[in-house]
Amino acid sequence: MATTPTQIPSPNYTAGRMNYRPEAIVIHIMEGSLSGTDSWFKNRQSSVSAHYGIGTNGEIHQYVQENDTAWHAGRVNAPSWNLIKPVRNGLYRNPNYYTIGIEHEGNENSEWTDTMYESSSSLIAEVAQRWNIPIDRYHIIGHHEIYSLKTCPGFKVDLDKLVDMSRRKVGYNPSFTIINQAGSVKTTSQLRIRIGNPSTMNPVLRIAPIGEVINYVGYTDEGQEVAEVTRWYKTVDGNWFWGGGVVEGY
Amino acid sequence: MIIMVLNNLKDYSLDVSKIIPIIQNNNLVLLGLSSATYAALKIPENSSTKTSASQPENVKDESTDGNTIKG
Repeated sequence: MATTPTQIPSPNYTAGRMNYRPEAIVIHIMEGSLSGTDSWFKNRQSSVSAHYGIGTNGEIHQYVQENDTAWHAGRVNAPSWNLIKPVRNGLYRNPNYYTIGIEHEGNENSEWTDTMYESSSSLIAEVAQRWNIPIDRYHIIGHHEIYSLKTCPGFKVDLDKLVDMSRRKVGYNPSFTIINQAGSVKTTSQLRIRIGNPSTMNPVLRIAPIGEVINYVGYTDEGQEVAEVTRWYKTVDGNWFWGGGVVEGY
Repeated sequence: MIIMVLNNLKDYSLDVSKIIPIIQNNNLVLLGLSSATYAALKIPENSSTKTSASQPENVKDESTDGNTIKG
């Protein structure tokens, strides 16, 4: 079910993304209430914002449009995030330009309510699908992974649980059966070859051009459903591609 | 002043340049002040807007320069 955020526009954003696009989602904790965050982000003097804020009751507020750059993770300190973009020694691309920021009500020691997990995972699933962001721990990260002096999003949130809930909302089946039967197919369109699992939420290894013949070692009919097709093929290298973009018998 | 000008214009022998330059000079002075005021106000406003609406494309790792900011 699509989320319908309440719009609370913040003046604290940069129009556009300087030719970058959202590639990851940064999870934050508000260190306060949803209403307090509304006020803080509406205040030009604060010079901070995020794209979304989620209350403990599951309510979602949107402060900045996803096509624009929110000011939520523009400082870097000893980052541990594997996919941060280095420029040269000690200098990084500003993470604000290629991330979506989601704030959550509470403080670093607050237990996350089931409702907040539910609402947050639904939003993450929608955002990830809109921007083709893989739903894994490389792409759904805590703010402290960029700025190590902060504990944000705190000690109570289980990011693995949040990722798992989000993956299930896009139809990912973590337990699928592989039929070990080799063959070959030909692509009928450009097709993404993905690492790990039969799901669009997994990282893209490469894009196969139209007309490429690909050998496979097996397939599953229990992969993520895309356009009513659940068949995915496993390549000889152990990667996966969607069955809706190929024809068999080559 | 307008009445004075109109009255004087009836007298075609009057050197018009003795009246009109006064008005033009006033206009110039007014325009000059206006431009200066506009410029004085606009320069910091533009500067401020640019600073607050843009983000640097690159940011430095604060841990590499001994920064101890907490928060």
